[in-house]
Amino acid sequence: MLSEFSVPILLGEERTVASLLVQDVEACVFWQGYPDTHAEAATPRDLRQAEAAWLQHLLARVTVTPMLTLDWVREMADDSWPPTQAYLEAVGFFPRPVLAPTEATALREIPGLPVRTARSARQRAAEFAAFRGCVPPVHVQRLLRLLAPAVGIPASQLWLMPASEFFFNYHVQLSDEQKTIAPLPEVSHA
Amino acid sequence: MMDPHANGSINGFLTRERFEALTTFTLDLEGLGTVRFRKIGRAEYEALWPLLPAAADEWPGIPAAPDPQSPTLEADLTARDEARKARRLAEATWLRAQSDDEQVHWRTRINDVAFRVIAACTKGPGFTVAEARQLGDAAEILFSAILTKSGLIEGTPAASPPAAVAVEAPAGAV
Repeated sequence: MLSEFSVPILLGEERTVASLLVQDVEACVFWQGYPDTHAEAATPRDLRQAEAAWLQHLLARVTVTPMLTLDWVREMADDSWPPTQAYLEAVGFFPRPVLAPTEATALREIPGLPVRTARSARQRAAEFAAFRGCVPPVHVQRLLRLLAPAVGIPASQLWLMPASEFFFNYHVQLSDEQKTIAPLPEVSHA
Repeated sequence: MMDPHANGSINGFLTRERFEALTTFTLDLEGLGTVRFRKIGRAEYEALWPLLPAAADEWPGIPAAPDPQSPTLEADLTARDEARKARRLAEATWLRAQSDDEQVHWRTRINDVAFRVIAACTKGPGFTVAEARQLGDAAEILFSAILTKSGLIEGTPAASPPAAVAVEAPAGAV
């Protein structure tokens, strides 16, 4: 079972703090919809917007409580970035001091949480099934080709690995030279 | 025992009702009543702008907003204003070189941004672009309110997006 943890979000005039329960999803779910940034026709603005759309979809996908839809995320406007940032940090997307996945994503108990407010196991299974067979975006294919021999498992298994383990292996197993060939996208705060 | 639904949330997690309350703003428009609206994200806002013409590659750039704590703040702000003026001048020069129809088309597309923002963000009543256009001067007030709440007008800080999705305001932006 993948671990779940909460990330804070500030909303409204009073900047009220609320929590989103998010999930350490599989790499194939994480990377779904990541824009291939090498299309010659695309303008920088198109690429930025495609990347923003990917991040918004990602937040909607990984949040299990409440059951976020893309409409919610759009209504959050730029308030959706801090929890997205927190999520990316927690799963080790950024090359920060590397923690083992179990340390990075501690399971958080939420006693009394009504099941109806969370994505059910069946919904998650259906979503996962839809994503696992997807062809990875070109940039992610490059990551998989480099990472698989370094970790010693087939790329198809990496594709199904929790995102936190995927990024842990990326930071630990790849050399600086390999990371130069296949860098992670620069979606960090300035 | 604490009510798990206290404050509209369940154990601190958002509910739809709480989310609606926190993300919906209101504005009283004289003669029109109260309008409910949501914020707009920078990326969504930028998507509503027309693509700049190829000639814009040659227009002067505008420096990023200076750090308010910068010791050279005043000079930085002045330089930014000058860069803005230079960019607007370049845009105006380009526009004058276009045909009459193209000039009208460009200006209309720029003006439509406000109506598109209103159509995207109003929740009650929810205006269409055509209806927003009928609001007349009230549309400008509503548009400004949406941008202000969204932190898209200078001086109203919003959450920073990840750097790769940070965008600069398109030419002609408020």
